[in-house]
Amino acid sequence: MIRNIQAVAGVVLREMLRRKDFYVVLVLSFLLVGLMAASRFFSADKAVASLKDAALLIIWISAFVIAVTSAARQIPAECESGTIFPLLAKPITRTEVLLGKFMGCWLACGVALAVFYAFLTIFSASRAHTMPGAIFFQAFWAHWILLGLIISLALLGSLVFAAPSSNTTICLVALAGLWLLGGHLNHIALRMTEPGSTLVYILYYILPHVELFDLRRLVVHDYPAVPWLMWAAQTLYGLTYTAALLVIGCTLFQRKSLR
Amino acid sequence: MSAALLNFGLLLTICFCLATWVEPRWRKYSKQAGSPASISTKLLGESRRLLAGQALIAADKYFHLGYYPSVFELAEKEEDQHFQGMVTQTNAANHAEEKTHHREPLDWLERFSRHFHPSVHVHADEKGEAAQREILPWLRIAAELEPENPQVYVLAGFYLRTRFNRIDDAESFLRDGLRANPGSPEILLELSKLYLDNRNDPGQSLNLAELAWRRWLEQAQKTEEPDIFLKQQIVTQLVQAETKLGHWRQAIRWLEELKKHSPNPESVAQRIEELRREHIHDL
Repeated sequence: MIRNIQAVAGVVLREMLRRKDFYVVLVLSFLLVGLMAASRFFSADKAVASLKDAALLIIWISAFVIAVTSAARQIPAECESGTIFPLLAKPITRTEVLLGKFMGCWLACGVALAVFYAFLTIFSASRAHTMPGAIFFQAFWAHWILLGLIISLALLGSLVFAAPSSNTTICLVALAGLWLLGGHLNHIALRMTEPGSTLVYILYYILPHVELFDLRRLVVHDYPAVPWLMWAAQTLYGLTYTAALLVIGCTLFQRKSLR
Repeated sequence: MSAALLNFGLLLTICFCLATWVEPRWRKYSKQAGSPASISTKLLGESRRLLAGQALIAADKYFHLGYYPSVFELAEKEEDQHFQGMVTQTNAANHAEEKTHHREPLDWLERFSRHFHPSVHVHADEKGEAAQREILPWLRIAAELEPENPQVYVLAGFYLRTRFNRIDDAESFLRDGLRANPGSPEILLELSKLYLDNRNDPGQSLNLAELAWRRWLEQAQKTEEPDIFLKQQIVTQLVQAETKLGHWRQAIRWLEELKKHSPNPESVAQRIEELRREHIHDL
């Protein structure tokens, strides 16, 4: 089983690294950060935090877009070109195909993310003249775990929605909503009347909390690393949601008619 | 000579002629439309004010090192403060109080999430100069987006001169603000403080404070609710400048003005008596 997943993941990884999307986003991000770094305020300022903030926001948006668009097209592209049939004719199950697709996308996003964070680390160290602490690693890790969740969500969406474009749009809107509002649903619930209040509170507990993986403010303002136990719990939280989404995805893929 | 080259030359000539025709008309139009608009005004229109507000919020976020309550928490806090105000009639915005009365998380998930974002109320002053410096770019952006807001210039000027000892930058920025807001009493007052506290030039400081006072009077005549807090600040500055110059009679006159709206008129009266006693021969 592992060998089959590795084989599919390898193909996806190679295909994604051959595509130009990733490089375009990377160059654009570097250009934007470089342009911002070139602007100087009040003649001798060396503002680092605001640049890190802007760079991280660009990285977050770019990673969201890369993860969702790449995962959303995996299954529909195979079905549309008909390559899914010779693939499934081999001794490989549908679950292995989906898990392989997931692993390939997740690894490719991990490579992209590593490049982004390496750039951020070098940039930050060169501007602040200090080596970034463990919080940088924790931010990268949390971001990568979140991308796993996003990819599994987009893969699940690709099995539910008809077109990759609609899946991409719905996923991006839902993620932006979760990112911005997810953590405040409990406060919203408190201001509502029953039964709306209970429903929103249930949603608050059921929906994945994207904002838990957002360590940007800690990185930007040079806070110390998160306690490692909490970091492990955060990882477990992310992996649990990813596994749950993948299980639903595999179940749906088993039942999906490919014709 | 090839036809392409001739065509190219013709196009260049047409461009040049068009430029000579458009340029004076554009200048005339710009004069009619008022001051030449900045790039942000051209690109963003009136929405730049909204972005300027966001830049100011960002400056505040940076001042609190990333700790910033959400709109929901702010609403709750306002309700709390309103309640506290009714019960105790005290200022609930005390930093020390906020630190101790930090709201308890509503549930385990919120308690867990607090490990992953700044959740303690701290100020950039406590983290040194580097942390405070980060506020400046946001103030600059806010000023670029909304040059009509004098508070941005005052705030940036205050930071530049008091925290970073960059007097020239502070003066230059405040003068930029004065060009964008001619006769703004807030900016004139800040400039007066700069001349008194940092340039040790009480004469120039007095001139600026007097100008700020005249502009404040002009503004006060036009509005039903004049800014008394600003007035008190200007008058205090006038007292300081006159005292430094040894103009005791004028200093007492300004202290009398200060007493009118002072929350503590007894201490002002005491100061007046002290000045009268100490400089009885100069009066």
